[in-house]
Amino acid sequence: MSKARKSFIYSQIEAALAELLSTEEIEEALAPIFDQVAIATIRADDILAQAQRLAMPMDELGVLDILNALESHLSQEDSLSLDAVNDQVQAWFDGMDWEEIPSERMKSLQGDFLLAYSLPHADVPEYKHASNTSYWLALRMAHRLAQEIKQPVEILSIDPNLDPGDLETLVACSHCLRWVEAEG
Amino acid sequence: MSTARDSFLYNDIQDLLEKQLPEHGYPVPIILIRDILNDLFDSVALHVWSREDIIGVAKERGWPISPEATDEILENIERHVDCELGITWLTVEIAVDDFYGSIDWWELPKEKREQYKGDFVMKLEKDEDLPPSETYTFSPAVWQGDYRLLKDKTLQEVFEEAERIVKESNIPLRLYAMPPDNKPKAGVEENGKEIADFHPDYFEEEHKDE
Repeated sequence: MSKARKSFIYSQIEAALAELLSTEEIEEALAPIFDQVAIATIRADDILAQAQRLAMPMDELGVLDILNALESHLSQEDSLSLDAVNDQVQAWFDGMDWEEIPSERMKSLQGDFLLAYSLPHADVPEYKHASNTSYWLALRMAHRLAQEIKQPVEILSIDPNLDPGDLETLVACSHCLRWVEAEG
Repeated sequence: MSTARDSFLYNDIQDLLEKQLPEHGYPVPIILIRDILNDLFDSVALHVWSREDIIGVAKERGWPISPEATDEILENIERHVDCELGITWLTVEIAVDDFYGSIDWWELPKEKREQYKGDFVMKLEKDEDLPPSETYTFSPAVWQGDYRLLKDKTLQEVFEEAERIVKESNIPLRLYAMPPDNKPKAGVEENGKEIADFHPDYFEEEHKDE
């Protein structure tokens, strides 16, 4: 019985309809479907978590696109696995033109960023964290910084789960989204 | 949008709610339910495996199948979904083999045996120490040598027939479940699944008990 199984999607439907229908009414209506299927589910949270692990900013639209692509590419041969999620998150990231995103979209893309720059005559690059923020704000910070130092600034997206003090690992696992040049 | 994704589960749920709620007198506007389901289905990707998938694998492997068995296998699959791997044909094959590997066909109650359907082969296991009954004749119309194919039968029908033959002929026999279109004689032991062996001794003991 799906009720006994409490599959994720069944529980979600039950919760979503809880204000309209009783548990028994939902079960009565849906048991014929849920008793006769096995369902593997990937949730929006799984996509967000995977995007973080892959050091990529993400927004709701991106999650929807990835979920859509996952379902569209499904066959009985290709399962809904973490590998499939990785592939689709990577494909989504590769398909984004990070320099041409409209500012409204930039505001919705959330992530952790590192602004990398080199001061004149310095041997090693410097880094500035922009944690848990939007791509748009990270870009503004990069513009301001580039103006201050009169040097180009690279915006890297990083994995927020890594140790922020371990710059070597952070940079090695990061993605370059774009460069910002000092204006004028 | 999930509706654009053509999720058949989404459509089935919506259709069922649309049909069942008014039938049961629940005054819930379907448009409201549709809105709620849209949001929910937009936040997930689903891979749905159905009875047909299980039936296909079980048949291919030569197992008899019942609706209850199918649903139990689906339940086992869903309970043990590995989020790293999802559900694959291999998952289904393993679940089917695990399920059937744990069945003691003799111990199944009659009502359950009546639900299992499939193709079966009976194979006579002639034993020199057990002289065959002179009164029983094996009709060549139904027997090919020591083999007899029983197509699309319930397990209970086959058990009853096997028991009758063994009792009347005094010849032991072994019962196999077979994949569809498998000819008897050809690879029964290799392709078939042994279900049970029937020996005259079992029934003598049964009579003694009586």
